[in-house]
Amino acid sequence: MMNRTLLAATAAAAALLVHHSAQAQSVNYGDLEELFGEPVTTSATGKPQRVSEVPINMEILTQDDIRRSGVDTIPDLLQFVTGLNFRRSSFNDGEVGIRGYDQPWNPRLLVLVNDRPIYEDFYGDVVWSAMPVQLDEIRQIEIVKGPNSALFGFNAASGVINIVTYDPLQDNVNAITGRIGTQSLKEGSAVATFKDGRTLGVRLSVGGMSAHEFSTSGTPPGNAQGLLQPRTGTVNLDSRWQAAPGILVTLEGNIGTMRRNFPADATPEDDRTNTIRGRVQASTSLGEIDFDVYHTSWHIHYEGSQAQVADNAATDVRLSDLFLAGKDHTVRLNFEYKNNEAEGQFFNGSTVGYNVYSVGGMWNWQITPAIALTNAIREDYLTLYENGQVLPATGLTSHDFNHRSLAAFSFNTGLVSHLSDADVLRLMVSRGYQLPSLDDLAQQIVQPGVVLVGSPSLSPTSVLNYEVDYDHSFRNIGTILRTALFKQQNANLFGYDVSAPITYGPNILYQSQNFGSSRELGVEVSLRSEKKIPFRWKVGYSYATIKDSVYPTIAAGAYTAFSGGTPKHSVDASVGYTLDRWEFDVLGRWQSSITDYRYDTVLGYVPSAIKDYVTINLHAGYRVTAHLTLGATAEQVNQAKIWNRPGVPDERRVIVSATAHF
Amino acid sequence: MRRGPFTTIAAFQAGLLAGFVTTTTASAADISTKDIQVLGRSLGFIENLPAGDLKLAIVFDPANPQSAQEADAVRKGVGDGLKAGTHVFTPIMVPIDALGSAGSAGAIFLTSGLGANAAKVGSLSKDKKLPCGTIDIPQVQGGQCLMGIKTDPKVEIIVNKSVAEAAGITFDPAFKMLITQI
Repeated sequence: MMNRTLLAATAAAAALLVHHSAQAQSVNYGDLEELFGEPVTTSATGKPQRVSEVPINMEILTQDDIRRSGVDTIPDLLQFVTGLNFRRSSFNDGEVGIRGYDQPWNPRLLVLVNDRPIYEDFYGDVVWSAMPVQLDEIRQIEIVKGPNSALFGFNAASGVINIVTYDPLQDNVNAITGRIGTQSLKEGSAVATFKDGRTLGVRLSVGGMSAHEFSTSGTPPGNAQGLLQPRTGTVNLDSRWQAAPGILVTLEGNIGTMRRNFPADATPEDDRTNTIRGRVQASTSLGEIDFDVYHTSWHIHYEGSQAQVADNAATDVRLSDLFLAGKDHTVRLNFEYKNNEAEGQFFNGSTVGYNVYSVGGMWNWQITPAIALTNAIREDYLTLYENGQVLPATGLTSHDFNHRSLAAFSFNTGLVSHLSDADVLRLMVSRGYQLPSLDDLAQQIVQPGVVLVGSPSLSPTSVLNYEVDYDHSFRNIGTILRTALFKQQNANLFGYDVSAPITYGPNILYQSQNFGSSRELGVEVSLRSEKKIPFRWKVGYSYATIKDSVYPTIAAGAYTAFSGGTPKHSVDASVGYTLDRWEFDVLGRWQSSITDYRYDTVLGYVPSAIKDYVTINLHAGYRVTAHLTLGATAEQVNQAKIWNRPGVPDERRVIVSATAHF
Repeated sequence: MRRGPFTTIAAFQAGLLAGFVTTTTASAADISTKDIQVLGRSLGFIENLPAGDLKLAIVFDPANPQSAQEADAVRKGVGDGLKAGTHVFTPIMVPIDALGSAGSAGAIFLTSGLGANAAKVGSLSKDKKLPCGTIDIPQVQGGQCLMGIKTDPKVEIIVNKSVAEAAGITFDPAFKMLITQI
């Protein structure tokens, strides 16, 4: 009800201020990409920009890239992007990291769908399989490497992935896809768009999947018990209404459910989430006003021996104004308020929550036609609260929670210089923040023999990044070179359950704790063909070396030992060929060995050597008619099993698909 | 003394500004198929084009070989129709001496090197509220034509704001933020 009132009030206010040269309307990404020969994005600064001109390290995967990969999940696609990390704990639990520091339920990554964060708010991780987006409705996936909190919001500590779906006002997407495959995969999705002239568009999508878990043969017995069959089910409604020439209204609602196994902890998990969102974009005499409100709720149910339930709800209100200050200056002011609240067994029956107040600004200066400078700042102020019981003898009281506040100042600065028509240089410095989640701050989990508690005194992790990027286009051979050299400093790393064990009556207690710092030096180099038809190819290499400085009392684990947990060397490569109605693609990736950790209920975190491995995917697609495409994909065709993290090994998969477009 | 991040930022920004300021210039060249496609796509971002299928008046000077050749190349490139968003343009050849016949068209393509004659096209464009496109950028800079197209090595679109205002032509807002307005 509150959201509806706010929405109505904002629409009315916007109507009063609407400017004659109305600008708030959908961006026609498809036609603009066709015109300029490269993807266009609005996510970096709020204004439309070609990807070669954004002041950040951004790579864009298009719908063509998705289709030609043949994969059925986004993490499966992202593993072939230079500088990204991937590991999978089980069939339905692919994890993505950017530039290392990957960890189970990675909370350092900000994933957005049409600029809306979609992570599980109480923990900060991304539940990819509950994401209410079908692959057929994605226009492009924008991958931003490096900390970018000032531009995108907190949690953008290691990077951002923004998924942009088709616009129901601009794009008439109607598709049905069915997939069957090994592991008894049955998967289906449908996307339908309804338009009423040029002022109203609605896109509805539904999808679901069920499969058998990968074989647990070779998995330590303690990590293979009670695993359940993975499944997903999602529904999404996205509507845009051009209420007037200067007013665009967006309403979204979606539901997602999923079951995944996290065998390193022997934890099957059932989640349910739903979101409602309202957004009004208005062109006014004060600039481009964007008022965006969403409410998300999660029901999290860990099953098995560590059964726990939590309910989480988050409400986010964002207001921004983008305006031109003279011919060469674009300014954006933004304000955000977020309430995040959770309750349940994770919190010993208490209700815990925080309010975050954020203010920020961005200034983009087009110094010459060839040079642009962008500066952005953001301040987040968080206040924590708790209602209920605090476990006795933890040394904490309600006062510790209710008088805790913390502030974080982040910034981005990036200079883009087109040295010539073929050369682009980007120089960037940024500081991003990973704010502690409710789990980190306030969890109170009591399990047989073990008690896990959060720490309200945690400090946020700051990530300072210095980066030089250089891109060159070898036009005579139709090849594009992209390079990046970066140095990163992480301070105040924190993790939950990472403290030294504390005797707590008959139990052992672990607590969240800041535990040190870490530095990273990295290089990324990639070459790809300029044209994509009939022949396309890409090869990329990334190098990362990390040095952790962790307090001596902290045991090495999946959340504390990043040096050994990040591959030093990774190579990705792909090649594709289009022949009349056929498309053939090969995607491959190699990474050097790492040390990961599995959780043993008796021994705690146990190191587990993950050998270097190669994974190769093959895909063939055949366009039977203008409306029907058939596909066959063999994932990990070179090896029957790969352990890319402890737990259940990835198995070779074969998927057959049919997609009908109407 | 240990330098903070802001000192570092300020230092490198100052260095870059001093070192990398360059300017770009554009000039007319032989027209390519890509130029014609980009012209069509750019016209598609004009918000107030008349409805339905439209004529593209290719204005040329028969006495000027460069202009005549370019006109012929555009006519061939447009062929049976040039797609511009939801519109389709079909070509009509308009010698500069018969410029009045361009008045009924939906848009003008102004060939290169028309010199003083280009001013007449500018007047017609404003009077009849006709969008004009060219690959001869100086004609845009001089206010004789609305929009200049450059596609090699990368697509660049230059729009003369005062011509647009005088002719009452408005563009899609996102498109406007991706082009150079002079």
